[in-house]
Amino acid sequence: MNNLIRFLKRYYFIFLFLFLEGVAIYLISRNSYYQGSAIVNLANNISGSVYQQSNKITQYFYLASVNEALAKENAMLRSQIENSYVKFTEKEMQVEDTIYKQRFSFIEATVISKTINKRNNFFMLNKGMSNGVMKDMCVITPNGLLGLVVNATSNFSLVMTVLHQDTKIAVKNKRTQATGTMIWEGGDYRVGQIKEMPSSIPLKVGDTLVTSGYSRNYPEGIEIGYVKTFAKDPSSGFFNIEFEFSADYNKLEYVYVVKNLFKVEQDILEKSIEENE
Amino acid sequence: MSKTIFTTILEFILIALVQILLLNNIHLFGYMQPLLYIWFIILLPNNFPKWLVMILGFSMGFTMDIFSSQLGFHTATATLTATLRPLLLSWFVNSFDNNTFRPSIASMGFISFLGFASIVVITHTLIYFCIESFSFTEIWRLLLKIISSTFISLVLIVICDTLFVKAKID
Repeated sequence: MNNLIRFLKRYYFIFLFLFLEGVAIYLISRNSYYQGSAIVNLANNISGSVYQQSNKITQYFYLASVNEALAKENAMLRSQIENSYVKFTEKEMQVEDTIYKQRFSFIEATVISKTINKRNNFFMLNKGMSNGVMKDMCVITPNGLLGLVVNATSNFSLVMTVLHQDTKIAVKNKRTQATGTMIWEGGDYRVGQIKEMPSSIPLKVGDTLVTSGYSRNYPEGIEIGYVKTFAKDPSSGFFNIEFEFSADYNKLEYVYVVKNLFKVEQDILEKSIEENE
Repeated sequence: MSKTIFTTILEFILIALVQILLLNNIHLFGYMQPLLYIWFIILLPNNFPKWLVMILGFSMGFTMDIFSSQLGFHTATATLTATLRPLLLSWFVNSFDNNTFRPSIASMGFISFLGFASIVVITHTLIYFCIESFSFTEIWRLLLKIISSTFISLVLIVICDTLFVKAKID
């Protein structure tokens, strides 16, 4: 207390001065518009710059939620643009010819959701039964094979991609016609494997692999990928082949659903075999 | 001492009245603003404590503000001028001289008084017009105001001093 009094006694002059000037400045700021607003402006500038600096730091902590909000808004806006609405006016392309009878027709579709990093990956397309997409139809991309429609509703369809543990597709080497079976062992979505390709037929890195046509659902000659590495398995006499998918499934947007016009006939034939057995 | 206080109060009232009733109505050429009330701060006895000088300056400024349209300007300026006065005065008087006096031509000599009065008036007008304009966008106009007002105020103070202050007051 004594110290406080001493302190006040010693510096009373400065305190008195500051007090009186404070009163004067208060009067100025209260009673004259221009000076008052200038003083308030100065105070706002100081506090504003401090807040700005602190905001610069704190806004990093809100980036995640802000991004989320923006993404939501984007999705909302995107759902309103024209592309989001399904056109029901498109027709399948068909060719009328007397010599060649068309076997396959194509329905173009857009990928609306996809996964590529799981063990079993599915794509969803924006075309369904009302567009002619049926179960067991093959789906191809401009660069290669995508997979098989496993389920279709009236407006959407689900595609089991080649990136699936149940995928077994008969493939052949385009150059040598040697056949094998394509599987995907998981992991990298860019790399698949070929089993049961006989090692007696020579193979080169870079050879193109296409569908063989032995699988009923897949048309013949659709590109799958290019041989990346291979090794001979001495015990089985087959190659163990790793290949690179020709299509980049991560960037995929537009695909074609392949409609096999003879599928019903083939199914009937197949059924008769089963019945005979 | 009571006489000194009485004289000071009388001076306060007289100078304030002259300033308010007469000089506040004079704006020569739109620039010159005679500020005679600075004389009151100049004229205070040198033995007044600093805090009293400051409060008297504040009071005089506040009185001026009440009778002008805008509060605060004269108060802030007069308070600052009164605060600086002891320092400014010490430049012009011999510190070993312990005489009690009121700064005037008679007590200080013309040169010393003029120097002291000039620096007080310049300080005062500089601060006053800077606060009043509150920006340096019209710097030449501002400088003209400061210089012309300093000049007219100083002339008035010297005239009043020679007319009314006769001799030393102890």
